[in-house]
Amino acid sequence: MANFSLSLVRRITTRRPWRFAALFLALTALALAFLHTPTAQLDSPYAYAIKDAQIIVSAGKIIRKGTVVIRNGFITDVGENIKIPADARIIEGAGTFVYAGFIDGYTNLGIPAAPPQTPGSASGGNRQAAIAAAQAQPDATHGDPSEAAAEQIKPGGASVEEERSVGVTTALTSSKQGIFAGQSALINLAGDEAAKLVVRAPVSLTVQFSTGRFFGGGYPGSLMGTVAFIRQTFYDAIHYRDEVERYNKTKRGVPRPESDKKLAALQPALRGEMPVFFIANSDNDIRRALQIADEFKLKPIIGGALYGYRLAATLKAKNIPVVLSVDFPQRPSDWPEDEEEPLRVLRARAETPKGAALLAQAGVKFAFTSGSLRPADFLNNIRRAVENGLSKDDALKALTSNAAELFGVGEQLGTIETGKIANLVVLSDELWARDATVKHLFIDGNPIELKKEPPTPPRTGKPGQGAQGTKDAAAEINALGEWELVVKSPQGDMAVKLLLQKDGNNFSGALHTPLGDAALRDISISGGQVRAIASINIDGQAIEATLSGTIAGNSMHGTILLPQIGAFDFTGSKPK
Amino acid sequence: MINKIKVFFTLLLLMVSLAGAPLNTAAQSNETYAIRNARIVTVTGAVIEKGTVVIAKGKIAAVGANVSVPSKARVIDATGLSVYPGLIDSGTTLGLEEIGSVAGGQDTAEIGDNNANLQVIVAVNPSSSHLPVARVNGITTALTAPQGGLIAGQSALINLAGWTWKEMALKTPVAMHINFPTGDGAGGRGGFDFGPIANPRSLVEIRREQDKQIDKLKTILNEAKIYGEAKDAKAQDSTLPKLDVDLKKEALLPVVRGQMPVVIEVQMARDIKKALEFADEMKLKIIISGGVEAYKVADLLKAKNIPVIIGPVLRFPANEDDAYDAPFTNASQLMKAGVKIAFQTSDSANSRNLPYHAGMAAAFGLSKEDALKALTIYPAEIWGVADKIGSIEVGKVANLIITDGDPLEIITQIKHLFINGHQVPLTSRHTELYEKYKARP
Amino acid sequence: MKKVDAIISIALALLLSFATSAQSLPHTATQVTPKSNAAILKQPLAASAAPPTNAPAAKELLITNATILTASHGTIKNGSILVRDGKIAAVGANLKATDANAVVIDATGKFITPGIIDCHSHTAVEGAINEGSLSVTSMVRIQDVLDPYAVNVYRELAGGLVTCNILHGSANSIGGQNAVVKLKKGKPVEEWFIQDAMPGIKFALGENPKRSNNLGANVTQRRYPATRMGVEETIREAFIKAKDYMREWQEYEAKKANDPQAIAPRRDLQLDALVEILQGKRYVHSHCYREDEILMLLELGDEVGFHVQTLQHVLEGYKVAKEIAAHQTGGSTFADWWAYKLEAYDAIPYNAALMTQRGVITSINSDSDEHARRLYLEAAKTMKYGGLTEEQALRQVTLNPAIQLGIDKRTGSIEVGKDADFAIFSAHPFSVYTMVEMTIIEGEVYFDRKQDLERRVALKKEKEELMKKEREMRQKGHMPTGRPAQPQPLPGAIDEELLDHGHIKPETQEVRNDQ
Repeated sequence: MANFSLSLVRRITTRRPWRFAALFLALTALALAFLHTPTAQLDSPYAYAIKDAQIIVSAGKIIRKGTVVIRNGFITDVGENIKIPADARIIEGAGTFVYAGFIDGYTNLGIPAAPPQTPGSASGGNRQAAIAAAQAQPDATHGDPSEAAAEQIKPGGASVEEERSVGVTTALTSSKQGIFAGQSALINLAGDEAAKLVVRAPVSLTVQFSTGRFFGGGYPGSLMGTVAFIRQTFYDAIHYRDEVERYNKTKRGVPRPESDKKLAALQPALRGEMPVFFIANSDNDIRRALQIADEFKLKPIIGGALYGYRLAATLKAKNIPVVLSVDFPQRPSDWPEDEEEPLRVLRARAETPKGAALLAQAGVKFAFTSGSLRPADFLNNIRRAVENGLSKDDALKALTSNAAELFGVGEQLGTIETGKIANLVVLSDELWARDATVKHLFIDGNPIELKKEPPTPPRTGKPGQGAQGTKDAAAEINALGEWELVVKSPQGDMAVKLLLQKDGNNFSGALHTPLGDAALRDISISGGQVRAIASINIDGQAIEATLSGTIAGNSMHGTILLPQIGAFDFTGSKPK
Repeated sequence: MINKIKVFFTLLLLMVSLAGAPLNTAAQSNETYAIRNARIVTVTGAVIEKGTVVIAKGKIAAVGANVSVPSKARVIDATGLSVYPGLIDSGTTLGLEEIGSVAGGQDTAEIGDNNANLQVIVAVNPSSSHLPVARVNGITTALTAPQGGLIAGQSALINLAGWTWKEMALKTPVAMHINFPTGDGAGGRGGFDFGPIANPRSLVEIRREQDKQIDKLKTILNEAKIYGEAKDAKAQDSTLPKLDVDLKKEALLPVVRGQMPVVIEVQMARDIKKALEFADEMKLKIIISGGVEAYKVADLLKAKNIPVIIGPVLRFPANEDDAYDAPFTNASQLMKAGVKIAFQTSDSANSRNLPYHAGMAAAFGLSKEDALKALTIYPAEIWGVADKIGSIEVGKVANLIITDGDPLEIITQIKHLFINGHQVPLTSRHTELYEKYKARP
Repeated sequence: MKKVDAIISIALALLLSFATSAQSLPHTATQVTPKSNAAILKQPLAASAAPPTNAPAAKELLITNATILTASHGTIKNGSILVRDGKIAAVGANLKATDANAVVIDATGKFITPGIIDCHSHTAVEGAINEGSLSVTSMVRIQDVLDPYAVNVYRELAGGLVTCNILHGSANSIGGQNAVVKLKKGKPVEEWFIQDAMPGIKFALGENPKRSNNLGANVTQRRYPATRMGVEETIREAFIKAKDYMREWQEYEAKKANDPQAIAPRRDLQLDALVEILQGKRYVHSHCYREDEILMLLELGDEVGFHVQTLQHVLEGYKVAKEIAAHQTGGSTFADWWAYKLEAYDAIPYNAALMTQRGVITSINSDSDEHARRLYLEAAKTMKYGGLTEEQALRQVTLNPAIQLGIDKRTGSIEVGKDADFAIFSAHPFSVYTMVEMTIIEGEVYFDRKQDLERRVALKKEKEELMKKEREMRQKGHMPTGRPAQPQPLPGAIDEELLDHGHIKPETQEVRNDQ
């Protein structure tokens, strides 16, 4: 019996990871064909002219005072002395700076989160359930290369709005579930219909070195297992190709290959037609990715690459593009002021912002990704890269034209040129000024209404170390009351109410969540920082959640930390 | 299932009894021995290059270059050999565990925060195979200590031979053992490379929890103090209401009255400082145990005159950026600052490697003399038994080893061993298996 | 075919890494950083405790006036070693360098041994050392997950360690593929691998593979096998599959020239490794304890057709030393570790000596990054327990593990033509008072105690400066602080729990990774 179930598990997990009956092959191809012809540009009935603005046409090419005309979703004219069409709505641009819409080179925007995996508690029934779940649902670990982001996108949402509010008009988006996380899509960040958002799809195949969470919870459960799994999967794809080719050639007397949509979906990558987007931040991961790419003659893109500068020469020599994360390592917010950290960690924090400059110097072509950063920090950290030696032109290219070229839309996006899609950002100042704000935003020629609140200022300071005295008192009063928070969890956004009160000298409070309510304890409020602990019951286990938030005016952002499970960002505000 | 367990225990007992081969030891031997022509390393006095040690009634009866050999004495000709006091391991779980992964033989850690009333001596298994294994390498005496809870209980100093634990006990109780709560987030572990943030809890949480635990310790001790005062008052005035006996508080009375030393198990410098503050506030007489970062607060330890039981020495540094030899140089730095030290293995099965912990410290700056003293006379002083063991002096317990060289050197062999004046055979579970399989055709 | 690919890709990687090595090398005192880079990146990227100067290899290195413990042909007093291009060019008295720029190390009063070799290590592995999901994981490879930045590597170098057999853990009857590396800290990881070392794989018998995933009495999800009988069956079954697979490929190779319809069988990475074992192209290194399971594996190997290259731990090897010797199988064991679990209860420190005396090539290993830094002292214990000679004892951590790993042609003893891998000691390596002063790999210095002591001040200063700079940036608001310290799963934490490391007291106790 045990033997039988073992071999069953083996068959499912190691041989032919994805040999399911496949009706989807043709359907998928059909759907993809549709998605190749985006039709999103014809909504706006108006023409617009941004007048007398400084126009940054492309990196290094600037019109000091000029006009951009857009119509029907396209840029129809740009220059110093051009005729503004009579029907155009005029936008007074004096003192402003017009850039091609920024492109975020890797996100999960608009992709609904996968059904949650039970968190990794190490004992008892939970663990058993988790293992059973992992074995029943190998996709949670393995992913599915046939999953197309373009088909999964749900338009709208707070994340998209927030991303837009700093001038990002376009993003590569991909599912993040599993090792083969599926096929990404390049989307414009406005519009109500998923199909209309897509600028190009599929763009690349996302592969990440993720592992199953559990010892015994299904293969692979280790990094080395993940590498072996990726390699075996590509070998399976090669064999599948051979089988299909033989069958197509001979038909008579040869076995008919079982149709397998997952292995079929890997063929473009094997042929070198579809880039494989390896998510790899450490140089160790990058080496792993490059080895796999060499073994199967793939066309890799390295996504993340925080430590890619250590391999800049290799990346250049192999001509491998990078989608560079500016999600630089940060000092934990609750770390006491003079607490020592390892030199390795301090060096990494000092060096990673220099990475972009080193890559540029080596001649590596790269775009940017925000990683898990809040959009405001995305641009601020690009500014840090510039402060650390990256030329402004290189930074702008990475944010616009490089990204467009990398994702195969260099003709449509990335610069302010006639005929290109009218994705434009109008800033109050040069991009490089930390206080530059977005005045206007056009996506597919449509003016986008911006969120009223200015982006929250960069996170500073440490809890309990903030201003003293009256400032503290004011911050405290500001913190008290009811907050509406949105927590970004793997299950999707979750609405949570936070209540903070003061009785005499003591704080009290509560957290109201869809999972249940919890009283807060150990609350501290000082210097615009809130910290509190709540015991939350998850699956019969009491888990101590630590909430830490930073308040700026009426808004709050921060993190809820669940030991053993993860840290979840939230944003929110005080109603009224 | 129960049957299985029974069978297992029977097997275990069988194995244990095989190892604990009967020893001809009583609390004290009536045999007289004379070790002649030996190089005598007395530790407290000068080395006698060629002399005699006489053992009678379990004690050292005479030591010197020109000592007459009693007529009834059994003579051991130690030409070319050296006599040393038996080595003392100042922190072990000897007698409390047999096989690491078998719960049935584990008696090291009791449940609960406050185990002040536990006496480790009653759980020492004289038949544990670990005892002969340690002693044939020259360890004659060990502090064996409980490990569980905030207050783990009371330790005992045992000789590693005897028919019963009563015979083995050299001194009991010795000290109250406290596991000091840590506020350390990343370091202090050794062993694995955990990366920048090792602990799943945030540092703030850890520190808060530490303070809470320290408060708990203080409350326990304060309540014992109040209990003691009430008891005194009752003794003065019998009309006062009856006081219920509280065994834990009772056990803590000598501690809060400064009569019983407290061994505080603590590793990191920041925690040691906190432990010292705690001890000052509670007016405790303390000894630091572990102390991998004690060298960072050596001056403070010297100023307060607090001894440190160092060990294990053979471990990784506490922090990623520490010098690779930090645990090795710890002892010499403390010694230089004037802190009294002794060594421990914090082990049971591997207690036999005690000399090499001291040896590594000596390789990295400690003088060979101090390394030896930290295995003999220093621990005897720290544990309050310097009148009994720790050196070769007339009147002390005859715990002696006769070696063919420096006992800290690995290749040195122990040739004879005395505990309580008994010549203990140099056999163990290991030598027996060795002899058995060496003879396999 | 496959091999050629591998060689090409390795060569390519080597070539490329050359280009990058200047950048990923730790900063050196003497090296002048090119200006253009210096502006951006003053400190080239070192791992944590930056290793010492590995100055580019001078063509010649001369070590003079030392006591040389060769491990192969006795001890040479007042001897010199001449190193040319990373290889030992001459050993003897009064040697002279031919190169005027040769580096000369005066080793008067010092002792030199071959670089120490650890035949059982899990050092520098990124992520878990066990792929614990399946009972047969021959497809996973340690070479894919080496982390050249691992903190312990430098500490090991400081103990004279040069070469490691980095093994998969012991959770599975058939584990993953090992990697034999030299600890060339500061070099790209591709340069760490000993290219001509025979590939190998980890097997495991006894408590660990049978208990892994046995999640307790009330859990029904248990992984086969749960007994030593089942372990045997698991290994046999895997090899039977491998033989089928091998046949499938042979048939394909035979017919592909004339049969246009022939396509290559599905390449199966799991079975590939087992086929290599059957073909004698991959060594089996098997974790084991008890005499019964030792004999079982040797017999199974005879039956199925594989050779066991080494038995790892093999704590009861002394009971069946005759049988092990007859199979020409090596034994790699602990010096004196015992009683941490039931199957380690009959472990005796005389094991290595008894096996050696019965003709088994024996080595002493660490299975612990901490023990790995004092293996020379562990080797000395084989003299104490069982009376090996000094040279026999030294071979336990030098020549013998080299033989066991199939790299004795290039390292493991101080002989002309071999790699210049040395540890230089302040006193006899078996004295407890000794200290490693220098560790040299292929003629380059990777650890130098003198430099280490000097560098401590500089590293402290660097740290203070970085912290100060960060504080200033935080005050300016240019350095956002992140989330609260994140819960990070401890690498391998769950594995250890399952493998019943009840004996580990993390605060104080030695930690062995795998036992």
